[in-house]
Parts: sequence; C-alpha cells; structure tokens
Amino acid sequence: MTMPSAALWALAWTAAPSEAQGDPPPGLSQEAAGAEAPEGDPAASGEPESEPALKAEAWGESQVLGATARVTRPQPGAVSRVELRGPELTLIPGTFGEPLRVPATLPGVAHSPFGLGFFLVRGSSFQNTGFVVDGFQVPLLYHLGAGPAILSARLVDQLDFYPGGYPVALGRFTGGVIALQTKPPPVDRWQLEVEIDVLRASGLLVVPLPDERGSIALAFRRSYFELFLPVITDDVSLAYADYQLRLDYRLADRLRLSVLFFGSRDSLETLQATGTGGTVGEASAGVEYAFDQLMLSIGWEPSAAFRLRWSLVVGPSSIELGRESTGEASLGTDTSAMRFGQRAELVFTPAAAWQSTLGVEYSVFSYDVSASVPSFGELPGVPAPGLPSDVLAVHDRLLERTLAPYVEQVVRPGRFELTAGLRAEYLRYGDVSQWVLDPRGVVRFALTEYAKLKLGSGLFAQPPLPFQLTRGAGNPDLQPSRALQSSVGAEIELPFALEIDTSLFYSRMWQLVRNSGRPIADPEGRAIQPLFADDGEGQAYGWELLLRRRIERGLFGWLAYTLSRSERFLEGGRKVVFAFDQTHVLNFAISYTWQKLTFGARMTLASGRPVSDLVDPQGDDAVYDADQDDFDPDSRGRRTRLPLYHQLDLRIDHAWTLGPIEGSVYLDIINVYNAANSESYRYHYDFGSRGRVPGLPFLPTLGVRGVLR
Amino acid sequence: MRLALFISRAWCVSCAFCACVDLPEFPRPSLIDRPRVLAIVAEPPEAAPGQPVELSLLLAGASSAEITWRACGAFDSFTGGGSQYGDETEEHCGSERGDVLEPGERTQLPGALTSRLFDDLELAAAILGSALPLATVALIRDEVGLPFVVEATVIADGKLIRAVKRVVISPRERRNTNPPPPRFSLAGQEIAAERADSFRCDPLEGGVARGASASDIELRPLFEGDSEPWIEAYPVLDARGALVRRSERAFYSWFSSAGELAESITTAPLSSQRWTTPPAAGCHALWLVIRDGHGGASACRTEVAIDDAECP
Repeated sequence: MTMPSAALWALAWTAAPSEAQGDPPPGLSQEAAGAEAPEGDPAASGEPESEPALKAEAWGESQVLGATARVTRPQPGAVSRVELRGPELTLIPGTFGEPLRVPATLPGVAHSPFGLGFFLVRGSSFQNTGFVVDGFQVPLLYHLGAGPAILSARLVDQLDFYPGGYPVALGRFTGGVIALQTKPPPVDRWQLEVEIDVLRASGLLVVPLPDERGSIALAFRRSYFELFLPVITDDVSLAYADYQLRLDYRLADRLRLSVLFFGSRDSLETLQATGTGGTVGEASAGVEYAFDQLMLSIGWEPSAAFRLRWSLVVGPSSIELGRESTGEASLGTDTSAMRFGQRAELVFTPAAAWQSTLGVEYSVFSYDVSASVPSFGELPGVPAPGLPSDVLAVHDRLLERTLAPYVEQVVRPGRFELTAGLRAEYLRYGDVSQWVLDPRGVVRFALTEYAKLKLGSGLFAQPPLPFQLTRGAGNPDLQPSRALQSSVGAEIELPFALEIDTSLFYSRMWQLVRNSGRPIADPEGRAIQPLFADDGEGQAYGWELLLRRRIERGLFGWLAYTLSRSERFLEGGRKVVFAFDQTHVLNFAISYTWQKLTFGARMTLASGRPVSDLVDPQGDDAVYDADQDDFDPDSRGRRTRLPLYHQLDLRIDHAWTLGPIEGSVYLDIINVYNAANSESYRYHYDFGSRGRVPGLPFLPTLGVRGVLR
Repeated sequence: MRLALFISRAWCVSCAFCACVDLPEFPRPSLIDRPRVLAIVAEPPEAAPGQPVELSLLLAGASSAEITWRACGAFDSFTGGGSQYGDETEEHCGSERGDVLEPGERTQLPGALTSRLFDDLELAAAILGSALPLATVALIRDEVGLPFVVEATVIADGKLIRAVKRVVISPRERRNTNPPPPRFSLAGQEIAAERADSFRCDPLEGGVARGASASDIELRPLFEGDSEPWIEAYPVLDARGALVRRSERAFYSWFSSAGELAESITTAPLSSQRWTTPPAAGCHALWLVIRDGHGGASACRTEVAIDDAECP
C-alpha cells in the first residue's frame, strides 16, 4: 500500500457509541477484567445456543464497545467447535476491532492476499465458502477496501464459522460457511448510538414498543472516502454504505415475529489517463455490489421441547464488474438477481439425549446476466496484441430453483453423541434438473470428562455461478460441484484454562467448474468453446490445531496452526497444487488486560502460495509472439512458491472516563516491523526478471471510542 | 492463458484499493537496449493451400545474427486450467517437430508444405486440442482456415531469441493481406517506407529525420482519410460456433533505441505517440510495426539525428 493509504488509516479514529446501562466499562468487561464468565451463559458453557431472548440483558451481554458477536462452531451437527467471546473478538490486533473479521485467524483458514474479506478454507477456493445471514445466503459480508461488515455488530448475536462439515440445515457451498445470526435489540428503552470516524459514520436508533412487546432498530453506515481520496489520488474512488431496519415483536408469550430489512452498496473504481500527443483518453475499471433483502421470521416455542421457526427472504442484488477505455469496447459483467426463499425448521427435543430436526429450504433466484467479454476462443485463432478487440455480448435470463428438505437426528447414548442428517436438494437451473443427496454424520465420544473424540463426514453440493451458466459464453449444462468432507479429531480441556481442539481433515472435490477454452463439437458437429467446464477434480487434506486459553484473569489467546495440501487434477491424472495452497498457516493471538490497559499481539506465518517462476535460469527471454507483440513465458515455468508470509500486529487499548462518556483509545499497528512480504510476482515484459508485489506495509491506526451513558 | 489473464485482471479490479501498492518498475518494452525480434512479416499472411509464403524477420539492437526457421504444427495445447489450477501450460514447437526452412532474415514456406499442412487434419486436430472429430476440423478448415506456426530461432550477439508467428492457410477466395508499409509523421516530417520488403523508412524530403534533444516529439501514423483504409474483414467461428465477420484493427508498436516513448502500443483513435528524445546529440533509431490484429503486419526502421548529429 502506498503511503497515502497508510496515512488514511493512520488518521482513523472513532467516537461515541452509547452503551446499555449497567454494562462494564469499556475495555473492562467482566471477562477482560479477569472475572469468570457468567454462569449459565451458553457461550461459556459450550451448550448449544438457545434462541436470543427479547430482553435488554441479552442485548447487553458480553458487550465491549460493540463486541456483541461470538464465534462458534456449534455441536452437534458440525464436527468442530470454537467459541470466542466479546473481548476475543474486538481486541485481536489487525482486525481494527471488527469482530466479524476474526475468523481469518482460526484454523483451516489460509492467508488471504491483502487481507481481503474472502476466505480460503480447507483448500477450497474463494467462491466455495459462503456467507449466510439468519439461514439465507448473502452475496457479501464485508465492504470493499478492507471495510467493516455489512451488518452492524450490534445486531449480530453470533457468528458460526464452519471450516467444513457444516450442518444439513445449510447448503450450496462445497467449502466452508460463515453464518451470522442476528438478534433483537432491547425492548425496554430508547437507545441512540453514533459512531464517527474519518472514513465513515454510523448510527443506530432503537425504539421500544409499548408493553415491552418488541422494538424497532434502525442502523446506517456510510463511508465518505470521497472527501479524502481526491486529496491523495484522483485515480481511485471508493464508497460503501449499509443499512438495517429491524422489527421484533412478541405476538404472544411464545410467539415472536422479526423483520429484518437490510442492504449494502459498494463501489470501487480506478481511473487513469490514456493516450498521448494529439490523442488522449481515459481508462477505468470498477466493481459495484448492491443488495437489499427483506427477511421475515416467526418463531413459535410452545415448550422447551418444541421449537418451530419459519422465515422468508425476498430482495434484489447485483454485481457489476466493468472496464472501459477510450477507443475500446467496454468489457464487464452485470449480474442482477431477484431472490425469493423460505425455510421452515422444527426442532423437537423431548429429552436431553434426543433431538430431532426437520426442515425445508426453498429458494428461487431469477438472474439477469449481461456480459461483454473478450471474444476468446475464436477460430482460426490468430491473436491480436492485448485483449481481443471484439467482444462477445451475452445476455441471458436464468432461473435457479432449489428445494432442500433436510432431517437431522441427534441421540446421546452413554458417552456417545451420534448425529445423522440428510439434506436432499433438488436443483434446477440451466439445462440441469436433478436431486442431490447430501448425507452427513458426526460421532462424538467422551473419552473422559475432559477429552472428547469426534468423527464426521458428509457430502456437499454447490451450483455454478450464474455467469458460468449463460448460454453463449457459459455452459448451461454445468453440473453442481460436489465435495466429500471428512474429519476426525479431539477436544481436550487442560489446566490453566487451556484447551486443545485438533482435527485431521480430508476433502475430495469433483465436478468443479474450471476455465476451459478447449473446443468441443456440439451435436451438429460445429466447434464451440464454452468458457467453463465441470470436469475439475481435486482434493485437500491436512491437520488443524487450536490451542486456546479461555479468558481468565485478563489473559486470553490462541495458537491456530494448519498443515494442509490442496491439489487439483489435470487430464491424465496429473496433480497440480491448488493456486492458493499454503502448507503451513500459523496464527498466534494473545491479549492481556492490566488495570485500564490492554495489550494484544498477533503473529501470522503462512507458507507462500504456489506460483510459476517464469524467469529463465539461463537468462534467455521468453518466446516472442510476433502476432501479439508480447512474450509468452510458457513451457519454462518452474513451479515454486512465494516466500514465507510473516506479519506481527500489535494493539494497545486504554480505557478512560470523561463525565457521562466512557471510552477507550487504542493503537492498532499492522505489520509492526514492516515485513517485506510478497503477494505475487510481477514480471519484466520479456520475463527476463521479476519483482514482487508487496503485501500490507507498516500500518498504524489510532482510534478513539466513546459510550454515552 | 489469455482467459486466465483476463480473469486475473478482473480479480485485480476488486483488489485495486488494496493494490495501491508500490509495484516494481521495469524498463519499458519500447526501449531497444539489446537484441530483440520486433516483427515477423508473412507475405501473404493468409495463404491458399499450395501457395508459398515469404517470411521476413525484423531484428533490432543486434550487430550480427544467425537466424534459423522451422514450420511446425502444435502451438497452444489448450490444456485448460483456470484459477483453481494455477498457471496453464502451453507448448511451442517441440524440438523434434516441424519442418526446417532455409536460414536467414528471409525465408520461404514452400507451397508444397502449405498444401501438406492444409491436408493434415490430424495435425490440425492436435493444434485445436485433440478433442474434435476430424469432420469438425475439416469444417473449421473449410470455413475459416487453420493457423500453423512458424518459429524463428535467432542467435544475436551471443543471445538466444525465439519467436513465433501464425500463418493462416485457408481455401477462401479473398484472403487477407498485410497493412501497407508504415507512414508516419515525426515532428512535422513525413516518414515512409520505400519498399514493402525493406524494413526501412526515410523522410520523404530526403536526408535524415531530425529532432531536438530533451524534447517531446509527436509521432503520428499517417493514412488517407479518417481511418486506416487498409482495414479488412475476415470470417471467424466464434465461441458459440457461429460464423461471424470480424474487422481488423490497427495496432502501432513503437520502439526507440534511446529516449522514452509514452506508450508501447497505440491504437485508433489514440494512435498518436509522444517520444521524449534523449538529452544529448546523437544518432538514434525508431521502429514502427503495424499489425492488423489478424496476422498481417508491416514494419520499418528509421534513423533520427538529435540536434546536430551527423548520421550515416
């Protein structure tokens, strides 16, 4: 990052959200101050989460200036479980106190270039790990430009991170899932929170309804990079905004209604001048995300043993990716979607040793895809310099329908806990209409009071992306990607509030969609070249270790290590290492609170990802393509890896009180010793030499937060 | 490879904010500071079966060179891949494949060879990735023609250089031709090639083109009318298998032995170029290669005297 952007971050400061009455002072929550977790707190006890209660206490639970989210891998439907509580989510260095970014430090998650908000989980690709809000998939969870989450942390009850082997209630992804569960705001008082910093402003208003029957919450956030970026550069523009409107209402004693209307806008554009002399122009490239979703949910809990929940989602979304340059055809894709979905789930728990879940999910996505892509794959295939000047204009309307009934049964005989589930998913899109059956099972065995063994396996399916299915450029016959995920591991509690969670995992993937370009004959014998084929196969396997100290006496932290290998198979059975494979990933995070000061450190070590070193050891140029006026480095790429990625982040928080305002000031420093990491290589035009594309530089952030009480 | 490149560029857009990174700077490709192949011109660029093809190579920055040629079949192996697979692999002429042609800066692809390549459907299928039935290959060949690759191996001043070019062999009656020899203006002086096969341009007024040191000089392609009149149309099979007509497009590749060119390649309507001349007097070279985006090319080199330098 250039110094101007570093300076932007360095200027960041935050001020003044209000806080619930009776909460512990900022930076000195019960947990951070060294107190034990409150009894009966499900997050502390490790019991399955119950429905969020419509009480002010629930709103205030574990809050440390917005730290309302928890990260869990709940049993029994998932193989592994990690619980992280409020301070663990907000005091981790390098996350800017953004709770929802903490999963990047957990086992199974590889280092993501530039700290982007997309995750590489257990050897799967970015698009194979999905984001879910209240059971429904959303296109984006984090704003662009290393921004915050698209939901106010105040409205998030918990974050479930599944690195694989997720429960049958969820589907559509062959990698992992990050699932947010929102929660109702307090019902007994008005509340107004405002947060302002140099980059963005946000606000939250909570209005209680009469008789404490519910509340209405409105949250809004908007960046204003346009005020500052032009001072630094005219070449980049960035903007994002999000909003949430939530209504919670208790219809009857055990009947609740919630409505969540939320949306997000993101826009990123780069602009530069082109041409010279008497002919000048400009080139721009940009990406825009937008979505609005209305979720309605009704929960009925007539008894502790019986729980029924029905929910609905409807709303549009769009993703635009474009590139324009004077004198050239515009390129890009514009995918807009209207989705409608419903899910219903019945949970029956007649006894502690017996739990039955029956559910169904129904989704309809109506896609409208417009694309102007370079006209690759033309025959006879004499390339021009640069990208093809002719574009392939594609416009297609796609309807994707899925119906997924699922059932899960949990029994706990003796020391065992057995979970068996089946998700039967009917997929209809493009030219595909089929059922896929995804059985999943988890076995846990309590070896001792402090040690549990666990074993899980299951099938997962993911439909292709809409653009990949378009007639013309894509392939409407693409089958859903499939994965068989298996893992075995143990959870061990140790003295001194330490615990170990370790797993061996194996994932076999097939029907992966890959970029193609190979001409094939259509039924009429004509040569066609679909951009995508579904014959990709691969596997990933590895070992994960989480050694964690729970919050006690102000000290918490964890060491997360992943040893893994991810491979893809080429024709003839040849294996190649996945483009983002990282053999070793180590994250060490620690935080200690002493009086009003909290110190935190986080160290990241990750093997470099595979790349082709295209520089010829003999010093010869690459082959010159006289038609393209370019050099082709093929045939001599030597597979190697980027150097080890290493980064140390530090954070210091200091709590303060000023009249009715309580707050904290913090210094969060990314890459303290300015490690010269490489995220990629950039080559000389003839591939005779190369340089590195650097990672994040030394990046200090000074922030101030306040709570008006 | 190119598809992967496009996708990676698209991905880079989303990284653009984070990628306000200090990327390493390399010398511009337009600077000729060592032996380089700048163009291979085939005459004609699209040949009929049995028609001989003259090949000539424009070499820059070399005092001496040995050039050998080979005509071969397979070029892109279409192994597929994509982002999940790391980099794709491609193959050029293998050492044991291909027919050896006469050495030298100019050579000929004999008519017998173009005829044989045209009839070898199995070789054509291999070029296209071996996934097509021969009937489909024959359909492609008959409708739009097939590209075959020639490879030049140059040893210039002890440096090994390899360069490839495609030659389309098609049965079409109206085949594509090369752009005319370059013509451009340099600080108001009109520079043009004397002959199509000479790779040499000179001022129409005679003598040597001149420019002032450390100044910005506009270089502008010249042609009659508002746009390149030599642009032709040609048929292709698009990715959907449809027979469509495409139009050529002019690409101007500029090179200099000193100074700095603002762009490496210019295209209409931004085809002008700015050359920041060297800071001292001297004799320097400029090269212009015109490509039509469909295998056609023309090229030339001209001397430019900076300030009062006397050039041969």
